[in-house]
Amino acid sequence: MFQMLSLAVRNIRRRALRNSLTVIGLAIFVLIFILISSFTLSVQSALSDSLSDLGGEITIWSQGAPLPFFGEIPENYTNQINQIPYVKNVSPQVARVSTVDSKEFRIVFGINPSDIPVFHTYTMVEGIMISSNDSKSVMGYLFADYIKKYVGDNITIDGHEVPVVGVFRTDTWMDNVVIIPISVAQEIFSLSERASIIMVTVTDPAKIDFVVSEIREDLSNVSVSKSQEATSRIAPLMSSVSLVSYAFSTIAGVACFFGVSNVMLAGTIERSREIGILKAIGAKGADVTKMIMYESAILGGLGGILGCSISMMLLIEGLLIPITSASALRVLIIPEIFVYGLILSVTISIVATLYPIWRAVRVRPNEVLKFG
Amino acid sequence: MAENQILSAINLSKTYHRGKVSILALRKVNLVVEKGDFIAIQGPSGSGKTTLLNLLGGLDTPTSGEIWIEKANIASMSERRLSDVRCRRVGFVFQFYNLIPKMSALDNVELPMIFAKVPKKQRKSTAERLLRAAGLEHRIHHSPSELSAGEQQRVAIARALANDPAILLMDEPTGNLDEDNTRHIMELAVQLNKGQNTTFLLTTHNLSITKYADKAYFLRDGELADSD
Repeated sequence: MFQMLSLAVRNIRRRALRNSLTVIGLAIFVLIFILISSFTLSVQSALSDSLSDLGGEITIWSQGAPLPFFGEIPENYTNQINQIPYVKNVSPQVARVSTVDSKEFRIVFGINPSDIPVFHTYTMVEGIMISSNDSKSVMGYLFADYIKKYVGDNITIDGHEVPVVGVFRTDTWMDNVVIIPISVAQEIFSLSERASIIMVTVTDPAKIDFVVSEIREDLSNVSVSKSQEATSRIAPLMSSVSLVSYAFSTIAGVACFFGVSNVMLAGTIERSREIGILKAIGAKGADVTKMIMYESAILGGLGGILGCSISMMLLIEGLLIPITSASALRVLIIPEIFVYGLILSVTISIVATLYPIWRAVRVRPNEVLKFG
Repeated sequence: MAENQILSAINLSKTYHRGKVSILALRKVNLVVEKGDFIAIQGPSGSGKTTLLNLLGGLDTPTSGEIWIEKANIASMSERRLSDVRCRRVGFVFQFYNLIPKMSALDNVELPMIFAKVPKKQRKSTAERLLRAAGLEHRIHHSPSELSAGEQQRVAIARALANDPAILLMDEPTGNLDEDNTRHIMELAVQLNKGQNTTFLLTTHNLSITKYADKAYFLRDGELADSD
């Protein structure tokens, strides 16, 4: 094995430029794979976190809406829910993606001011929390820093000017949103007597399942779940995100496969005479197979390592991608994805070499060597 | 097969088919090579010399007849076993050297030993010894492009001897060399033959080469005859 491995290493060194380009091609694939996969998982993680950060123990939103931002339910459902035993607090909330100060789209929450301390844990960085239904707003500190607006300034939400009275901090994604009274949100977004989501808390945690089943019985056209399980409800959306990401990775993989296959095939055809010489001096088909296989595995490994290294550098530096939550999403470093990237690189490289190997093994020395 | 016989061809024929045309390249060739022989087969271009060496060395299979190398009939061997024969029992020297470019002389000579799974240390010392014997001790780290034609052919001879084969088959070994290099190569072959009892079978179109051989044959139109 080591003899053939050393021969493969020598062969790679002999064609340094071509093999370097192959390694770079594989590295680009690994880079694309890791970044897309990391981005997808980061988005999924952010979506899950965003749902669990909404507060409450039971989440209710419009049936069929992929996220609360896209659905509407009657606000008066809260009255029916309040009648159900063991229900402690019911909070209708409006959540919309909107332009704020003509900047990018941001999430704006409309909540009853009295519900905020019940459903959220926060500290005020500056000013005060909204406490009435007056047209006032508070911002998460990250968003405030982003748009450079603080207490005393006005912000424009979907064309409506609203004064800022406070800046809060939660250490969740809520630090990137704007909160206004629900009545103001309903007016701005033309959602009279409607909400995007209703959050519910119960008096006895052991009765959550009972309350959930009661709400389901009483209300139609809504999706009801325990907040802990709410992430499962965005599974279709997550699946779509995953599908797109896998599609991109697959396209990159297929392109890389044909690229490597082309290089290895060209190399094999170019080396037909050389392979003929090797067979004439005693190389078996298995030796030629091993030699080329090792070459491709080494190239795949090098491409994988290079791709992983570049990805790691980018992610450690902090790759920020703007998504629907109101700030840029920091793409997570997920070690498993790096391992998969490396394995894929080696696998693609080896599989892409199977046909060139088949061609090489069939080389007949007497046909490629000229004896004069 | 007699004890000292290295190689024998019995009624060896080879026919090539090109579409509907059949070309009889060799007709019932019979040949015996004994240990320590130095045999030359002379013939004009197209007489079947290369075909004969290809068959005797297991690079091609005959249409009919038998080829015995030591105690094995290689005419009916599988490709895998033929590889073994080419690796360990037969050494090839080609007219155009056929060294691997960009590999040093040392690496080229080590190659057959890699396929014979010889340990690295032994490979290196054997290759160095063979290159020294070929008078190339000062050129072992040079690549073929840095060597003269004569030096390349010496490397090819050293490579052919790497796995201590029973016989060296040389196809027009001097066909691409000038007069001086031809003499040096043939003297090296004679030296190996007389000094180490290495068995040689070479083909040539050059009548003057046959003077180095113990026995000479003439090949014309695929038929082998004693040289007069």
